[in-house]
Amino acid sequence: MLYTIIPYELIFEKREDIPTNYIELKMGNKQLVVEKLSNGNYIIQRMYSTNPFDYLDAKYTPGSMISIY
Amino acid sequence: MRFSLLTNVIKMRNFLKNEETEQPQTLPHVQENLKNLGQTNVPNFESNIHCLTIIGQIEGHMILPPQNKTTKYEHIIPQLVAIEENPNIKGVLILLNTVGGDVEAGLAIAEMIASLSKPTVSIVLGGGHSIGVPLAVSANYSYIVPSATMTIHPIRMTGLIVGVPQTFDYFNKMQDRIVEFIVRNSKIKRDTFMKLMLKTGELANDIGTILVGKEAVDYGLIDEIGGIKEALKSLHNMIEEREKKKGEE
Repeated sequence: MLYTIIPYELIFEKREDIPTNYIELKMGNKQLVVEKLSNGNYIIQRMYSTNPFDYLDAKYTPGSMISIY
Repeated sequence: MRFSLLTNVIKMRNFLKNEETEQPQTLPHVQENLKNLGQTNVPNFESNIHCLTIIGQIEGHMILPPQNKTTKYEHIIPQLVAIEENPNIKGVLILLNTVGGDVEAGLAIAEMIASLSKPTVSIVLGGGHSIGVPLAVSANYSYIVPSATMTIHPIRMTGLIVGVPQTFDYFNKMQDRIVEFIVRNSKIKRDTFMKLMLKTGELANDIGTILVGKEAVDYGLIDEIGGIKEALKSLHNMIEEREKKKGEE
């Protein structure tokens, strides 16, 4: 059951314009949402961590490239 | 003056001589990095405060379609356990900008925050609506920035429901769980909260109330108006007090 100010129709609306190929993974203590590129690398879309200093680490800022292997 | 200049020159000469004759001096790590890559290091400094950012929809038992920005309870709950267990973490700052979401996930996170032994401070930024209200009041001390809003409204549902009186009872029970939590963790009276929840004429096409910044404080829902500076200050004070108490024991 949802308790929210956003109408149900907007939450469950089917939309074609939103990319769905993002991958969620964990690196150390950081939660990452990454997008796979055609060259096999991954680009960071979102980073989540409770440690505020993780956000100063340039390696994990959104837009930076990482290789998983 | 002249003397000190002379000694400096001699020191400099010795230094240069040293460099020529003896083994090259190794630069400290930070300077090495600066020299080779033109980069400065991330300050190697551990924060004893961790922050929990709760944004967008609270995602619980159901996965929401990708157009929703969500905070997932399966991420938050283990993180709260880790925060409680890690001795290096002394306090938690909870940053809220949420439109609401799953009732059970929201209440689960709120109960986790409320039962942490470490000091917790929350700030409502932007909005802390619906299930964001119990999350905001779950901390030991709560702040709201002057421009943030909180919407209090009854629980509702669309779609197919069984049209029996028991459905109404079920709704009442769900709503009661939320109201009970808010009353237990803030200074607002149950009657006042119910009045705000069932008010008409405030929201277009709906019943409920929008509280803007100071109003939330006036009703006793939130403790104080303030931003990051005030929140961190009171969190540091609470940590200090706790350490003092520990030292006395």
